[in-house]
Amino acid sequence: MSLLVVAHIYYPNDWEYLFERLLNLKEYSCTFIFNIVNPKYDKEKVIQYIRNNFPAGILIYSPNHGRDIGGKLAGIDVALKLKIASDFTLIIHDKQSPHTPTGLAWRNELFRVIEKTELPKIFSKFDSSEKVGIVGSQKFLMNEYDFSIGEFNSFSNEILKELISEMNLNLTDYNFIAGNIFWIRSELITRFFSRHAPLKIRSRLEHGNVLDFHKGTYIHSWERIFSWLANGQGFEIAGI
Amino acid sequence: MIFDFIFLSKLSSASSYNSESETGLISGHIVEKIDGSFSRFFYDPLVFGNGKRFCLALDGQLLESDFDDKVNFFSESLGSIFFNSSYFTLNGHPVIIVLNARKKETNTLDLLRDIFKYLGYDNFYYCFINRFDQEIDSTNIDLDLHVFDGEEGADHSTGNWYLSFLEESKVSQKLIFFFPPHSNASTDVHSELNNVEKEFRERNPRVFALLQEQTNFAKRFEQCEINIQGLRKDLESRDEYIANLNIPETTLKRVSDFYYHEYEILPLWYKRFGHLIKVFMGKRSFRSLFDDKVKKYKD
Repeated sequence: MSLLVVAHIYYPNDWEYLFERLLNLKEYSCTFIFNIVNPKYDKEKVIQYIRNNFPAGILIYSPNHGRDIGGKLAGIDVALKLKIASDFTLIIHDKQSPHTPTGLAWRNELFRVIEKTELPKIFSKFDSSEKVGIVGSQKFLMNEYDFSIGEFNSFSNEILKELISEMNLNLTDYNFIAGNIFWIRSELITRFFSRHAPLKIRSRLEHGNVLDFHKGTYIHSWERIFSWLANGQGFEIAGI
Repeated sequence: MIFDFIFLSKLSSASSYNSESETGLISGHIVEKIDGSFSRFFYDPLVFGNGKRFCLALDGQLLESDFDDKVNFFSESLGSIFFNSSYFTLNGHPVIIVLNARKKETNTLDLLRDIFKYLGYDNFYYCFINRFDQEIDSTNIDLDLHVFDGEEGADHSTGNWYLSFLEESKVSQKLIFFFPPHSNASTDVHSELNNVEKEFRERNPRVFALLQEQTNFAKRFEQCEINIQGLRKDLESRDEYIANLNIPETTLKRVSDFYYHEYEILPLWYKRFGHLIKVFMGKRSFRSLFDDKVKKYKD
């Protein structure tokens, strides 16, 4: 089994929390792609940490465009161009959510997907059913779609409908993992993003650290679409 | 080397590039076509991750060619190359070279602006070089720039040129665009330039020390500029979050309301009973029920 990690680093100071947990993956055959936002004032420290602890890790610097979604798309583009083969991909970022007092609890729950004790359970979920496409935190498995009116209970309703149509996603289930941290079968990523260029998608995302609590955004919408890559290709999301 | 050299040459094979030892020279890869050999070189995992500084020198004609979706094509072909951590930057912004542009530079410059905007960059540095005249046609790089072409009609050797260059040097941050003489590998050129520096240092130790001090200062200054940009962005981001917290009906308000409705409105006897349950569950110390000075909760 080979793994790929696409990790986006934005926040100053707290990135070690993520990296210390990512070290758990070094027991596996794993390729790491780190996207570091540029500019970032403590970048040198981050780079030093990566060089010391993940010497074979692939490091890219990209401007803060599309927040974590933009960074992850930049990482996926590199993975596709370098033709990195893997069975499962971890999509992750140094989540903090400073806008909410429960942000760190949210992060800790999402980061269960890289806890040493959880990893074997996650991979066995994929093994136990060929239909499982994504595994993430059950607690943050959300659904905003109201089937009765065919609308999303979200500021991004219009953008979501536009993107579903544009990406030709035939969805039967609108569950998504809020926070966009999960494991996904790599074939789902490869198949989808070979048809829809990651950098093209990224170019339409909002620039900078845009906050999207009171308006719809492409970033917010893509956070959901990432999870729907599974259902759109006939797979399911499993929670832990 | 005391100065930054961009060593401009056509793409070699991935294996020979990887086998070259690190010289400190910046590889300026001349790109005339974006095709299979381009992808095989830049997206070879060993080239992508090899850590040697490099930048792109796009042939003017490549950018001038007419076809649909030019911005998409160039952005998607070059994006991950600009994102590569070894890509050469100034003040944190990528540097791109355009060689021998024939059309009006403004057209090509507009295209470059669109490409970098597509990729989310606020800024980038460009340098249009006319190789035949060994001149810089247009640039926004605020450094002391020089072009040396060892291939095109240079009537002196690399060594002689560099010695006279050092002798005439004034204190300024320099960037040298260097086209190597035919069939000279970067390692050969590097050792030749290094020998000249050694000779110059022996003859003019104080001047050399001054030039070196200036170069080191410029690098530290550049790093400070990058840190300031990062801090500024961080500050902007924090300000936005704070502004969001100040408006009514924020998450904090919702959490506060949640707490009030779920807990605060309960009768006092119920809350006190709850404290006893905490003690039975081992979450709170028994003594803390009677003494405010003892530690209440376990960590």
